[in-house]
Amino acid sequence: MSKRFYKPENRLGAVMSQPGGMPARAALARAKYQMTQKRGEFEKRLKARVKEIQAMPVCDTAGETFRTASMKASDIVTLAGVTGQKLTMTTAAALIEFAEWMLEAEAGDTAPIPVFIDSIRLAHEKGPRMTEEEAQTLVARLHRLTDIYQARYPLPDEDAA
Amino acid sequence: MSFDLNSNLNLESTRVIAIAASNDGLEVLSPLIAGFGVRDFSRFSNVEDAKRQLEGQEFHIIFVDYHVDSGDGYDLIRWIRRSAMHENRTAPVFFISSNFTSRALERARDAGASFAITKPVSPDVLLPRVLWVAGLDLTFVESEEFCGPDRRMRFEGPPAGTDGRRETDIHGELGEAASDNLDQDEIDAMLKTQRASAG
Repeated sequence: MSKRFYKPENRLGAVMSQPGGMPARAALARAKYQMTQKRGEFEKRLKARVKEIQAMPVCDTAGETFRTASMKASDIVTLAGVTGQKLTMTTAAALIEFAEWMLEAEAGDTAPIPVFIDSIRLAHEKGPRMTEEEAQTLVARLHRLTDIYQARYPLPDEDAA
Repeated sequence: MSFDLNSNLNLESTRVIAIAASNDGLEVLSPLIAGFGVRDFSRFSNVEDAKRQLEGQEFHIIFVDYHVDSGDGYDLIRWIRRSAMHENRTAPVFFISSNFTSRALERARDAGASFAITKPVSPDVLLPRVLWVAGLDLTFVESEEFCGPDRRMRFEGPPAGTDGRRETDIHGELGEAASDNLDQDEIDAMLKTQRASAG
């Protein structure tokens, strides 16, 4: 197959330029309003997802455990992010960073997963009452844990593969 | 054609599709997309169902989550970029993920994503990127190795470890990486096509 360059029609630009619609700033304000209206529902969902991840079953393989943890934590990042629960979002993001690294490194050590999950629970239950220093310590410890495991399980060299 | 936050925009007739394994991700996108004025928003948590839809209907914007039921979203983007329907093959694809290491981002770019968006997706992040991509007349590349938008990268200096050849090249030692993850601006810098000017 030879290399081919071409300019496709900009269909999105064309349809967006049609008469009607609304100013972009109004669209932005409307989207934010719609998100606010759903906040209660998203908070309920978040609570359910935090419970779910705590009950996460042990999977047959380490890879499956990391993948499941990453997926469930991703939902928590989404829901905590849109409901303004920053510490819950950050702890879940830390789990994803850890799990994705371990997946990529094809590592089999799932021992730290419960530590991350418990931190998510703690952040969700007590985050609003934590001091800034306590929150920072919690996150820093998770990052430290990830650093240790990243040093222990380096990623395979893609170029060498 | 260019759009910005002061532009008037009409998204009523745009068709948008989102594919994610998680219903939560799709639920969060729904009010956001509806708020922008989009009326035709298709959501799929099953990749095979989404592929059937993509084979039969044109879309203007495609969202692909990193987590899809068949594995990761990279394969789905590659499939879109080689799909039989020309309109969808060249549609803007927004890749959404919670974890953008530089390696993950390179994979999204190499799969043919137009944009990478880090979770949680917010109106403030999404709309300016939709406006930006709608204002582009992108060149597409099709080759054995890559199908997707052509990218002329922003010039950010000579490759690390080289002296560079330009008078304006900055020299110096690179420090250790402060963090493995990239923020949204850095992600944009890697994926945005930059206009080149002559003279």
